[in-house]
Amino acid sequence: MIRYILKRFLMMLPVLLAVSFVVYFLMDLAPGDIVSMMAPQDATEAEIEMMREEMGLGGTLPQRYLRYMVNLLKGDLGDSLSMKRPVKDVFFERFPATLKLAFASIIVAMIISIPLGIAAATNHRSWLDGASMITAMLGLSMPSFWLGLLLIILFSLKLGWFPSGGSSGITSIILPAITLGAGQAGNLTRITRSSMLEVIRQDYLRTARAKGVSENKVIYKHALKNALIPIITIFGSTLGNALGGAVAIETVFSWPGVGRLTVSAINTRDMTLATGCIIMFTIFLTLTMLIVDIAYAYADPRIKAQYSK
Amino acid sequence: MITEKKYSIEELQAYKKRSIASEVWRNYKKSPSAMMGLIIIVIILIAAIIAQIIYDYNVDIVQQDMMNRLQSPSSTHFLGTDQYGRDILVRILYGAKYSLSVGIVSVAISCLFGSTLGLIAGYYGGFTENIILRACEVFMGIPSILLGIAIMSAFGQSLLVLMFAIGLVYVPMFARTARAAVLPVRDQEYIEAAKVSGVSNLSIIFTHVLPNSMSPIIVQITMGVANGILTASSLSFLGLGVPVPAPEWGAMLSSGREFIRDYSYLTFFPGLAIMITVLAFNLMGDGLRDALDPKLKQ
Repeated sequence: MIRYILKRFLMMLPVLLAVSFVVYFLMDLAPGDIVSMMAPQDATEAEIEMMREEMGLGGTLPQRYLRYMVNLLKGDLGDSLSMKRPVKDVFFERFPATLKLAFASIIVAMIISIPLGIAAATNHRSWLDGASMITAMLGLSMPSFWLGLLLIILFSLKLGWFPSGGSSGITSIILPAITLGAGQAGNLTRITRSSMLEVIRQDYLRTARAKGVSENKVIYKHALKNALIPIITIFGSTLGNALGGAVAIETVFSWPGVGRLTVSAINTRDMTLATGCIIMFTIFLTLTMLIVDIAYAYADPRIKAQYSK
Repeated sequence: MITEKKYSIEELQAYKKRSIASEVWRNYKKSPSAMMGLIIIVIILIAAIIAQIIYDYNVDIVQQDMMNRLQSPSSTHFLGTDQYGRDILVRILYGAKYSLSVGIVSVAISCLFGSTLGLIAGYYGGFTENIILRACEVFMGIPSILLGIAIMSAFGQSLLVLMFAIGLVYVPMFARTARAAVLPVRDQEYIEAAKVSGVSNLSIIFTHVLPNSMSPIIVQITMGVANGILTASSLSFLGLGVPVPAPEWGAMLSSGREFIRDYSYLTFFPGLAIMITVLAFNLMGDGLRDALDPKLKQ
């Protein structure tokens, strides 16, 4: 087991390094130079160059990247040029809000998708099955930011039940969580249904029924436990989707998370902040996927056995 | 008495060709939702083409008419007018070309590069496969919307960059799909037979491996168009896609946001257009998957 964890961890390092390089390189290409924007109108080339050095933006691309990575390993992501504060501080200030939204959306997605998937599978080829599949398909096809705006129109502007944005109190997370959860729910409903359909055909369910176990118990105790395995397996990628989807949703609901921070950093050409956010976001995501995989390997004896020698 | 009919090789080949395509079509036709997807796509395509012909970009699409601004849907303007007095229905019809072309071109890019990489990875295995899979992991590690944002800010906002960005974002998905499809084919006896008879690797890949691992790639193409349209509209919504005043649906929706309190139809209709288009491609993808591999449906 230790060997498996170690191996996975070592395999992750070059990937993270490459990710950071790709992001750094892309952001470096971006036009619009904050130094010349901040410099006084009558500054000469030499003065701009000096400012650049002072702000730690001088040198060639490999030099800058190397310096960036060395600082990153020391836990320093540079200073946000527009906020005049360390990027690390700004990022970690905003990150909990994004995480909170992502987890809330996953809970919403599960509340919607698991009962819907079970209903569809246990009533295979009935109108209920058709209706839940259409619902799931709509959830998958809807642009999330549009759903968010529709919910704002209905529940905050027309009915006034929930605030349309910000993050004050428990009510403010409800609309963004539903918005972000709906897209995930589409996917999860389809997975629940197909895995439930598969489990329902298994011999052990027939045995359970033959023993005289009640139908409800067969479904909720014997079948559901096994049908949920694929949903747990894809938890890593579900969280990834939720975090990625949060970027647009945070903008719609003015949610004070990293997604909105990144978008506004790009719009103000604060590349140090944008680069730091994207790199940190990705590192976090990769680590989460790794932890989920390890937890899964720990729980599943078949994977464990491969690495136990 | 049994009479044997003799078939020529050409006849048999023609029969075989016809039967694969027609069998898929026969299976596809059986699903009403798949047919609905196809019909919607055809209608949107036709509408988009007609809109290009009858409307003039400078006069009908971007010219402002402040006398008629913010008119609610009526018989003269079926879906109303926006804050510059431009007809929303006309802009949505004209704007279909952005979503469709981004979806289709970006999928073409990612399919071309991704499937090639996936075929190579799956066929050769070993070190090559490892390198390609690791590279895919790098690009899949970055959430697609953030990678899209990074590319758009690096190369500037235009329709072409948007196509390229979305194309690049989905390359790893095609690579993985193609590789997974090749794996079961790779060890088949007919591949070995081809190798023994001295056929080059390249021609084995294109004449034997590719045709036998097409189905998942075809399904991925339709789903890819749907995802591409969604991602593109998100980027435009965030102000990082097709620049204004082009009537891209995501951008229209975004600019209607200021008027959400009193003129909610400004955000409603462009979003509806996005959803219907994406839905149609998703339905078609589902239908194709079932038609190409009836076993999966069980």
